[in-house]
Amino acid sequence: MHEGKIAEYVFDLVKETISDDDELKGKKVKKLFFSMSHPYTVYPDSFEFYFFELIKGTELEGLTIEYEELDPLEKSGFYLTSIEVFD
Amino acid sequence: LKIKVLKNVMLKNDALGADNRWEFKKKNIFVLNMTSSPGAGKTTLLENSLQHLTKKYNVAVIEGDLYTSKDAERLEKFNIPIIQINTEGGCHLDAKMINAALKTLDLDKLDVLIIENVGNLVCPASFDLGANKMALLYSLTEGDDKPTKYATMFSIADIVVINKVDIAPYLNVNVDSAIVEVKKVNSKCDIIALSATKPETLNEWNQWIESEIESILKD
Repeated sequence: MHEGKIAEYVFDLVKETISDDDELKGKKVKKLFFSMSHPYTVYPDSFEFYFFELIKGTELEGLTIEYEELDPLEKSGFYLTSIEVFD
Repeated sequence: LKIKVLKNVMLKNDALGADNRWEFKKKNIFVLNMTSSPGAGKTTLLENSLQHLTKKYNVAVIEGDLYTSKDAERLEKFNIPIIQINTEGGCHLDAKMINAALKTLDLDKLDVLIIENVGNLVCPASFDLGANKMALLYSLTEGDDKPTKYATMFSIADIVVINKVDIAPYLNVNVDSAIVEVKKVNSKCDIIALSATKPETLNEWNQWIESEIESILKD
């Protein structure tokens, strides 16, 4: 259930990142890329349930999500790795 | 167009947790985050610990609960500051909630702050509150499989308190096997076994918490 709170963090993080980046500013987001390591503290199904509900009716509605696995020895946690926008 | 970000999603919580930690350090306050599954005995242990601690230290408690103030009401008899946080269905406390609660406490008058987290063996692991130590209360009635099933929580605990050892004869689990299971996921944490309902079994726990408090007060 903590994914609800994490969805809020991601929402704020994406909005802040876009407004701070000249290349992203004003563009529509196509895809968000996340990375995480095992053991997972964020479960994708649960996260997406909250996140997609949160972005309904906002400028982020319609985006898709992709995940990649991190080597836990190198990095642990849940990261927003990249943002892809429509040209 | 794809832009690399590489930002930790928990950054916001972690930054506030670090703010809280700095605030506690400035004021020389020992802060304990108490976690467990629901019904493991956090409030009972707290009740019997406060009996001892409030004689020597200025203590405040933050009570995390989904909807009620039942646990806070049990601690009212100690006449100490108690802040109730109701998460309204949320399964954990986060650094922002603690930060807001601190504004209602006179930190200059405190030696110890105990945070009783929401009963949950998953979510609290992801949210740094800024506490000095995390105690995980593990009731024998939960069975000896919990440390490996909830490895994240057990792996970050500074101390695992095995509770309800007085009823071990009636369970298919014993203290020794519980300790073995805890050590499989966390070989560094302290481990204490007690019965929170029996104050005479709390000596080791009281000594642990006092030595942690004293190490902060000496700074």
